[in-house]
Amino acid sequence: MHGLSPPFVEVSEDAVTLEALLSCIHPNVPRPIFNSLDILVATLRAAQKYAMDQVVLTLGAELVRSRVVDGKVAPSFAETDPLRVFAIARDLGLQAESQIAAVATLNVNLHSAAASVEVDRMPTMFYREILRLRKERKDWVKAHKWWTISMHQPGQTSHCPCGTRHRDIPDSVKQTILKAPTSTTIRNLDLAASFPCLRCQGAARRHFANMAAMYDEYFGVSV
Amino acid sequence: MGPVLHGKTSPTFPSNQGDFILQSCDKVNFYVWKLMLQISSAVFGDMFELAPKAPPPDYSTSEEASIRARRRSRHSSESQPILLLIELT
Repeated sequence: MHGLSPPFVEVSEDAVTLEALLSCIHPNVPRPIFNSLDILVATLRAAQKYAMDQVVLTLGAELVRSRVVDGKVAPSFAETDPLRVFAIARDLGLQAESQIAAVATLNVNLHSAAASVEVDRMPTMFYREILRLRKERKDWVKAHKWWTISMHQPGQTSHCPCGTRHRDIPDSVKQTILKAPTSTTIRNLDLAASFPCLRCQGAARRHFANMAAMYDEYFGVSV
Repeated sequence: MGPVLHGKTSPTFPSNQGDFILQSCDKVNFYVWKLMLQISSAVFGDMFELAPKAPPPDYSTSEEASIRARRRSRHSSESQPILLLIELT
C-alpha cells in the first residue's frame, strides 16, 4: 500500500542528527538536549545546510550554555573544547558565541588543544584573532605595575622585615599567568611556594586580588 | 511508480503525523508536515515551491484527483480562508 504513503526525500544526515534537527522546528516535540558536541555540531551543520536560520541561532546558544547532566551542572562546550567551539561559531557567523569561546581559549594551550576537523580547517584569519586576543591579555598582565609587587604594608611605615621593598613576580608565577592569561588564573595562583615569608605572601595576595579585579574591570569577567 | 519507501519509522515522528517523509541516511523515516519545513527552512521552502503542483499523471484520471484539482483551482481564485479568533482579555 505504499502508493498511499506521502512523498519522501532521502537526506544525507543520520537519524540522530535528523531527529535533533526536526525536534527544533516541531511545535509539539521537546527541544533536543545535547550531551555531545559532535551531535550538536552535526545538527548545526544540517540547520545551516537547510537554511534554518532561527535553528542555527538557537543551537548556537547551546555551544556556550552550561548544562545539567545527571543533576549536576556541567561546563559548557565552549569551556570544555573552546578552540573547536570558536572555529564553529566563527564559521557560522555567531558573534556572541565566538567571542565567549575566544575568551575561553585563553585557558587552553593552543598547541596541544584537542584536534578536530573544524580546528584543522579553521581559516588563518580566525586563528589570528585568537592569537591577537591572547597577546592583548598577555601585554596587559606583563605591564610593569603588575610584574612588580610593592611589599609595603598598609598602615605601617616600614617595609616587610625580610628586607624586600619591591619584589618581582617569580618566573614560575609569571609562566603560570602567561600560559592562561585570565583573572581566574590570577585568583587561583599558589602563592605559598613562591612567597615563603608570610608578610610578603600577604602583600602578594593583595596584589593579585587587586590585579584580578582590575583585569575583570578592564576586559569584562572572563570564563 | 517512484522509489519505494523502506526502513523503520522514528517513534518521535510517527507515520500518522505528517504529509511528508524525510529519510535519514541510515534509513529511518521521519514523518513531518510540509508546512513546518517550509516555514523554518528556506531550502525546503524553495523545494516545495518548485515542486509540480499538478498530481502525477497516473492519478489524473481518477475521480478523487479531479475533485482535488477542482478544489485547488477554486481555492487559488478565491481569497485565503479567514478564521476568526475570539480573544478574552
